Amino acid sequence: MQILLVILLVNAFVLILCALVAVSGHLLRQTGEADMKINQQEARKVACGQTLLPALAETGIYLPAACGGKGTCGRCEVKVASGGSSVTPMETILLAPERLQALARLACQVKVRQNIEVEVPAGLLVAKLFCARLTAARMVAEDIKTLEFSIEGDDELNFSPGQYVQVYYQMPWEKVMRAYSISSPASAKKTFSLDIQRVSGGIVSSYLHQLQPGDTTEVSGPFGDMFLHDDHIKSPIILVAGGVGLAPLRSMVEKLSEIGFPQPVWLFHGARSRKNLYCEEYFRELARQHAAFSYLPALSNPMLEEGWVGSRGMIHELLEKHEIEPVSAATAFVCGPGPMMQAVEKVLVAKGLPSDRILTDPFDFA
Amino acid sequence: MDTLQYPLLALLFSAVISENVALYYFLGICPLISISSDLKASFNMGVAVSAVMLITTAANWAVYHLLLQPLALEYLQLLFFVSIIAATVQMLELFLDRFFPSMYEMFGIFLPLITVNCAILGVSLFAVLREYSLVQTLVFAAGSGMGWCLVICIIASLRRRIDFAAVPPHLGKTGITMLVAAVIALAFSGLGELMSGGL
Repeated sequence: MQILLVILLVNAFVLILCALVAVSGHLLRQTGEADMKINQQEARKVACGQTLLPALAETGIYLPAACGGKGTCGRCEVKVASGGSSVTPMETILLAPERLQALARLACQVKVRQNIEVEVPAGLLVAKLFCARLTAARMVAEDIKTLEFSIEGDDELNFSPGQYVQVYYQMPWEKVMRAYSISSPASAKKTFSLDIQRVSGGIVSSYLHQLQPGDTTEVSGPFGDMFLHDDHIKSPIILVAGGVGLAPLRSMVEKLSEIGFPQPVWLFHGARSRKNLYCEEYFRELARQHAAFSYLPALSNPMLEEGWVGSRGMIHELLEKHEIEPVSAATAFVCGPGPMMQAVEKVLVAKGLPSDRILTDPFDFA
Repeated sequence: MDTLQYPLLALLFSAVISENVALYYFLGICPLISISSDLKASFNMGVAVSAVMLITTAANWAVYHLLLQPLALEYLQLLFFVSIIAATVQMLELFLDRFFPSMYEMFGIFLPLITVNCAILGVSLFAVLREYSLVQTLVFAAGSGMGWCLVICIIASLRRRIDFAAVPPHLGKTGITMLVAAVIALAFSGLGELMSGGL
């Protein structure tokens, strides 16, 4: 009897509190519309009370926000000429004082409260919103699924190998987004694939893992500064991935494979155990076919693995031991968790690679 | 020191100075370190924490004495107290966003973090544990909030000077702030003993 009373009491109490918050939200939330002027063009009406990130999306401008709009990745930088709200603590961490003085702001931190004037860099205007239909899904490693999508309608995804898209998921109370690198070749414009690692408690990764072929989802892109440029192909390339950080580098390898590996390419892939290592057979076969391509996997925890004769230890240790010539002329692409990337960067600089030739893409925000 | 034997003024004094929630019980240290780099933000945060502390301690006292105690369900106090604190902070956030937008933006992520400020839960639990009356609870909560606000403002004022001082490099900003807090704690404790002798 007391158990029933406790259950009823706790539920009723929480319900009352939730109702109070909901009523407060309804009464206090800012409503109305404001004029938003983008790049000195004609002003457009947007709803007040939201941040610039969804307000710009309303007008068809999709900014990169790998952190999902939490103000931790600093990628949605725009210039707010007038009407911006006060600078938030997150912005003072991510934007240097001179940038703040130059009116730089993070779109996910600026709330629309009045008429506002925004300048969006031209490079960020190319991303579009797509409707993507899942065509195939397969588990490629423990907790990692490769999802293949086709783009609905006449739209095409023109991306460079290494770039990423943002996947949207509508929750009952808000729309969340997460960034995922494209792992398929850039030559296919109507299809793309994503390697998704299920994160414990991750909203979007769990949603993507339960998607069935035929289901559709909203995707925006392409985004990202770490991509394979035509100039990079003229020199040796070092690719270093940690776990599912292999995704953007897979797309690069596909591109390099299509043109027959004109320069030496080294692919270092670090994983905890063999269960976390994916596309191993594919890359081994590619390395057998092309002398210029070297595949170097390493397992940091291979104790439970039977028959593993490859490298053991952290990926930056393998990179340190491996001889790469000529390293100074090479370009390195590094993708993985933050600490792994820092260690790899240190090793590459120590080997003689200029730091401006090391391009990185952390996936901590996924 | 049995504060129940003292008048309300003594209770207020002990909550603000001699048994300061931050310096005596080490509660609410996280925002104390992170926000105290700016005096204005520190004062605003102090006021926000004090307001939440006062409202939630009174609400928690009422829920405990009018609902949980009569039904002999005191063991649910933690669940109820935390829910009340979370809902209060959520409503405060909406209120500031609507009427004090610049303060709302200045706090940023630290505003929802008031929810997990252990000083607020600590004061509610102390009030119930020490069997304070409603008036004593209100005085204790107001004093604790004022004490926390006072400490964060003092530390913020000192940190402005520390920024220009030659601090040993390995001590870092957090290390020197903790040392400063320790010295203030000694001063508060000494003042408390001095005053309690006279009361």
